[in-house]
Amino acid sequence: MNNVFKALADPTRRKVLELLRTRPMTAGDLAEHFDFSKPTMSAHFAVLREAGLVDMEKAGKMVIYRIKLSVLEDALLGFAGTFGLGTQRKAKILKKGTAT
Amino acid sequence: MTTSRPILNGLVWAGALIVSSIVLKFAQHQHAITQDAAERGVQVIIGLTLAIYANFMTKQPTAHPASERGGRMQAALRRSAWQFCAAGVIYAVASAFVPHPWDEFIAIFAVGSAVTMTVVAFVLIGGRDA
Repeated sequence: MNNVFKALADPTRRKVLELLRTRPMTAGDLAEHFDFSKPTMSAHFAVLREAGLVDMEKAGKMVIYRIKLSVLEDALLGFAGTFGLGTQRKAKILKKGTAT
Repeated sequence: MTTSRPILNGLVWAGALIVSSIVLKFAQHQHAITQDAAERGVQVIIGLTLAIYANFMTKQPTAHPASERGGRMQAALRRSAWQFCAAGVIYAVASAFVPHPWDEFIAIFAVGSAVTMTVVAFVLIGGRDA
């Protein structure tokens, strides 16, 4: 359960889950929606996989991700999204990064 | 190992269900609780079982294609999981607190609605070709 909270605390990972709600997507399709590097995105996917929130399937060279949220996790995702958990912390980190 | 775990969990849960039913029946025979309370207790357990099973419904491995149709199937499954989870909770709460015969009516209505809406969702949303 700790892994689930950790995964849902980050706005980027929540955005990934929101995208996967619409349909299963490849890692490339998902990465197009973000300005992060591939290793950063891979790290986010790894956290989501470790928490059991997404399912990964290899189709040739492509990696397809599917959402795998239980009802409770879905409710937690909605709750975290509504109250913007982690967004202020992320903004602070980004602000710190640009200042230095 | 991964396939046997859900079976094991199911068996453990079924065992717990049987044991709690026996305990309730035993308590009734000992005049610790009334027959009504024992029956309500079993109904609450059944409702909670439905809610817990529905909670994990979307965790089962599926092979929806990475397409619009796959997305709709996934959405239909998620919606039905929510409906059955809510139905299970309503079933349990109604069985615990609502007076007879309304408890049975509400419980059957909740589960019946979830079944109907699930069938409709899969036929209208999931079954349609892209």
